[in-house]
Amino acid sequence: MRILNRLCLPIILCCILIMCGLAYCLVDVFGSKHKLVAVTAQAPDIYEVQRRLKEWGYYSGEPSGVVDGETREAIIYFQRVHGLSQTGEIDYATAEAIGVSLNSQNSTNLYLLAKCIHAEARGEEYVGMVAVGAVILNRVASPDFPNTIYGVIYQPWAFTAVHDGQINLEPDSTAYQAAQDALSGWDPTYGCLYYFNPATATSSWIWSRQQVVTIGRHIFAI
Amino acid sequence: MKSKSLIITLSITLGITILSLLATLVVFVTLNRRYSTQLENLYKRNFYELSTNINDLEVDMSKLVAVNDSGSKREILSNIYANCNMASNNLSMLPVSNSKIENINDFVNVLGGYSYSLLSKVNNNQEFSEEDYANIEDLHGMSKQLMVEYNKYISSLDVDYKIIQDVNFANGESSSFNAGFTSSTKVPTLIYDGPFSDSVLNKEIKGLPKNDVTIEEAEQMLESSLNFLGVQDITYVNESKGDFYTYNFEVDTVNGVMYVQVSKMGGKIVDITNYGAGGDRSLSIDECIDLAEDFAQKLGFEDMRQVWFAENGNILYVNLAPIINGIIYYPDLVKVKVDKQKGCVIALEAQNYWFNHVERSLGGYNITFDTAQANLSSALTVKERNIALIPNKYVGETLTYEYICTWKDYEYYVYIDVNTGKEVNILRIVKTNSGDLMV
Repeated sequence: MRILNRLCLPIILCCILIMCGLAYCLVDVFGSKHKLVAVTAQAPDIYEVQRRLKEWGYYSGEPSGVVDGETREAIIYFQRVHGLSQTGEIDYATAEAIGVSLNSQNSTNLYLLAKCIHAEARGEEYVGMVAVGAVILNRVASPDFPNTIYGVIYQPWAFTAVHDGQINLEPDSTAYQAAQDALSGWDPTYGCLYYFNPATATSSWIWSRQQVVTIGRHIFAI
Repeated sequence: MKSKSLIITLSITLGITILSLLATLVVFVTLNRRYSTQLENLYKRNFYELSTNINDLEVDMSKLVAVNDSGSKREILSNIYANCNMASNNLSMLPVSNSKIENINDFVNVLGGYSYSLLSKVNNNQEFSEEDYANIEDLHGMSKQLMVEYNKYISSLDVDYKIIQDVNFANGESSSFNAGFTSSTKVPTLIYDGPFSDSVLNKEIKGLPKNDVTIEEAEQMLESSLNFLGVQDITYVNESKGDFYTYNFEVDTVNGVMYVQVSKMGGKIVDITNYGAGGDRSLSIDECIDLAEDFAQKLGFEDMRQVWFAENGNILYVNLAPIINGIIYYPDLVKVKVDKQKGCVIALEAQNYWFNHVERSLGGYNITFDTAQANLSSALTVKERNIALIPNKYVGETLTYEYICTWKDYEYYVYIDVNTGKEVNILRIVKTNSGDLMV
């Protein structure tokens, strides 16, 4: 009976912990529904809006591609000055007044490329980030791979960071710059289609490719 | 009494916990089944749609051998092109490792590109050559082989076969599902006016001197070429063996550290990336363009003038092309990246230049500026006109008259062949957030 007395509290605490864990899992599955909102500005558009607002003196922060409180205040200030409804959101009327076109195919490709570069090569030197972007674009141009940036990036098992979900992280401004450079034609790999980290690569097949150059932690190959 | 209430409390708590665990387990198993079914349906759709594409390709290729009427040829080639694109999309959606589907992907992409080039021939009222017919026959043989292999694989599957149960989601390499895609089809070398033609994929480097240089010679060349940047130290890093075989150096200059790639063939600078600190003077767009032209000139790229620029934040991308005797040589582009705030060049890329830059004998002009201009759409207003050598979409070059025109709020670049008077290319300027884009 004494043992039961002693174990009672830990058992109840364990049970409460288990139930909390279950509740957390269920909330994670059912609770985090993303709402569709009217504003559809993507990070490159937001970045450009912030850059222009800063240039014109409405915004004092650093362009980040993310709408924060300071950005909202700057947008409201801009909307007030230009006689637009003061929503604090980058709606189409506001974007047009700022001179930014929302969600063009160009910005969508740039955004996805920047996301993949950020997920795959953050922490690498800048040339290494451009090189990852160039490999993606080289694959688009190669007959051995899908013919669009979306097709290449989301091809099953093509990129570790897509497979494990890191692709969904928001890219930083360096990744955008690297993506822009790659899209502008910069290719420090000279046509490479593959890259791998020799410290972590497990596939024997990847070692059979002709190696072209090592940039940072990655070996680039044809 | 106390112990009895303790037992009741414990029993209730344990009971609730076990029930919660069971309920959660049921929820997750149900969800897992639902997601699995949806994923399986998606994969099956791609799998069987791919089968339709492959079967249709075989039928259309066999018709192409037999047909003679240009209208029918046009229809069949359009179908083949569309089917190849769909097959490539469906392949990329399936849970198969790319190394296993390379052959099929290569086949459908090359066939799509080749059918598009044949379509252009039909549209230009050109007849297929003997070589074209031989290629069509070869490609038909391959499409038949692919169809047989794929159909055989499908018929070997059980009625209740599930792709997701067959796939190793950890890496995709060891899945038995891969077996259905390891086709032995190998595409032959095809030279045609298309994106996956062998002449595009294995492009010849025409602009570099043919002699090879050593690492020491490349370093000496760098020291003298970059002298104007105040070179303090040059370190050899490694080499690249891609389209260009290059020696790669880190060069310490007054503008910071530069990563410079020098071609082994001829010892020329192919690429510069400056990721150092840079200067501290703000430049206007015109000053940036002057800086880019001057930088290229000092590196030995002669007669380069700005033909295009795009602004992205503090960065200005400037495309330079040689303008000699009033002719713009677009194939020989050098791209320069200038940081407006730092006031210095932060990158230069000259791959196009070294691929294409040779002395050319361009021949004469069969038609005049005014005659060619009469061929333009009457809706367009001409703002400016130039003579330009432009790269064909995939292979070769064409001497053209370039007309910069407007219609309503749109701006166009129209290129007309100086010999045939035909429109070779039409580009429209699209204003984007990061500069103007030609589409």
